[in-house]
Amino acid sequence: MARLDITGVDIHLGGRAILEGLDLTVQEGECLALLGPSGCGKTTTLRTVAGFLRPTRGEVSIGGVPVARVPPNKRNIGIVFQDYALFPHMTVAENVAYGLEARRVPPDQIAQRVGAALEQVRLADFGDRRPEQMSGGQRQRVALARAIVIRPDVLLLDEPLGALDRRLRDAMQVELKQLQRDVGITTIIVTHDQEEALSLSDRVAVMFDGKIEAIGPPAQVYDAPGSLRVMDFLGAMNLFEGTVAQGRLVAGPHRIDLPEGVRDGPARYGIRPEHIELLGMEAAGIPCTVEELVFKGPAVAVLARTEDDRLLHASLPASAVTDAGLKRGDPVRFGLPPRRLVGLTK
Amino acid sequence: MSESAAFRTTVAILAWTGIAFLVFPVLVTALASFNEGYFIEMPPKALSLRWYGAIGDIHRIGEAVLWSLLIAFVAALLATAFGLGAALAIARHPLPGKPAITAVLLSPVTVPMVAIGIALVQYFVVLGVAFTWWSVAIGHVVLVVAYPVRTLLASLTLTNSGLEDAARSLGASRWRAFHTVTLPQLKPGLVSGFLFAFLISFDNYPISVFLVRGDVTTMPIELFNHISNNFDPTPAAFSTVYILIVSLVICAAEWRYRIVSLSIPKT
Repeated sequence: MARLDITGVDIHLGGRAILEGLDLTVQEGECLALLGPSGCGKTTTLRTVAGFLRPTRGEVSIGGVPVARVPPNKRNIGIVFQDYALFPHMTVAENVAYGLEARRVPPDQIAQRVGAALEQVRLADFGDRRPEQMSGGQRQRVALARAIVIRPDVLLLDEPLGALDRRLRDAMQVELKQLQRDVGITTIIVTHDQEEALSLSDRVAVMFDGKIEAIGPPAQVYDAPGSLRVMDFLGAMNLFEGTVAQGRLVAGPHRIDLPEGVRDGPARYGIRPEHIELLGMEAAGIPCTVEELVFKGPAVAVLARTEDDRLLHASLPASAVTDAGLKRGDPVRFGLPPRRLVGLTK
Repeated sequence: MSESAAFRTTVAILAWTGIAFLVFPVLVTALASFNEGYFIEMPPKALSLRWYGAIGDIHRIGEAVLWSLLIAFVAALLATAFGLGAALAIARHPLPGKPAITAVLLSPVTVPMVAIGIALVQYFVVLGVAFTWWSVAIGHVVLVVAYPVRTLLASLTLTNSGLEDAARSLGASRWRAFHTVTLPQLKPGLVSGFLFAFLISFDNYPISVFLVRGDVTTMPIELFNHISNNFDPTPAAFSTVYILIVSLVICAAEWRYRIVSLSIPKT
């Protein structure tokens, strides 16, 4: 277990800068999610920490020790690869034992630690199986056992749940979080799935174009993303662009109350669908016409068109929709609570 | 007849004709070897195993088979080792001029063998090593290296290059990762590449005929010399035994290493 520091790292691949001056710190025992669209540099960051890529500039330190020039096999890092990369010609137990054998751990200790690791991922009876005889979820747990059995300083997970189906993914999400907490390893999860990032991590770093654009605890980054593309990437949103005058945003025909203390001038504000409120018809709010209602269990997704022909996405509690008896074509008024409006840069 | 039935019939006829073309000469050879008479007759008038007993009478045949085994073994070993390096470089590393390098490595399959033979004998004469058994083996490497390159490239594209990264991240050095993870994955490619190289070298005539003089000789050369001077079915008996042994070896390799999957895409 150790703190991880990435300072001023440049990575060039095929003459192209993938990372430029990347700074990132992961605290001891912390679980950080690196989130971003494909090509944003998150996998490059992971491979740099692992030692497969050598920075042209900058330093990577694990527990305060600089490792930028240290090969991957001398870094003591556990990786769970996206496709798990289990060795097909070895049994599950042999896969898990591989890292211990490479470290020349005495055989009796190997057997004991492999058994304990398989127990930890609830595969104690599967040691003699081959990877091809196991399901996707089981393979993932083998990959996890193989990575943690070496007691790595840092654990790297590359799209850990990407290859699993929906239900298994939800189950593994909980399991992975518990395991990470139990073992307490400094962890980086690379993912393009915002839900995975928000639910698994202590902090989320959102990457675009080789740079970290937003970083912080999941709730904070979700509620105050800072930039339009971060907000958009983290989930559905509604955008209002216009000019601020006297504490209100003038966007087309709309006059939207803003939180106190905003400066006048051109601005853009976003609001999440679940923060939009359903108001009574006499209240001041944005008048719309309901275009579509999609029932989603606890909530109903409401798609409504404004007077200036814009579509607003609202996620309303199912009870509120039922009480109001909303149906397609009904006029509604949407309220935008000022404190839920998020000021955004491009 | 419906259109799709007609299509399937045409494909089936073509396929079975192809198989017949491949199998028919083998059957004729086997049949001829059991012929009682001195001259090859079709169909045989009486059956006998006498020509199998006469295999040993072919001039220098025992010695020639031993030379061929030695030459084929050394040539296949060298070709597989070189092929492994070449295939790894082509499959796993960014190389300038990769298509050109690949084309050169696979070219012996397309360059006329007589041209290769003439070039090699001149080269060996200049070096003063011509007509030694090992110069024949080295000459054969030129001919057969394309086969391991091809099977190993197929093997490498079928295996996951991430496995080596996984091994490295788990603490294995490059060497350890290579021999504990990469090499076991390449076994089918190594076995089939070696086998092809061995067999192509073992019964090569057009190159050997330029490289072989005096003490050193090879099986195909002695067999051809025999056929040039005699009309008896002994070579047919020899060929039948030869085909049988090769078939058994290929079947064993397929059963153990699934080598056919390298040349035929999985369905």
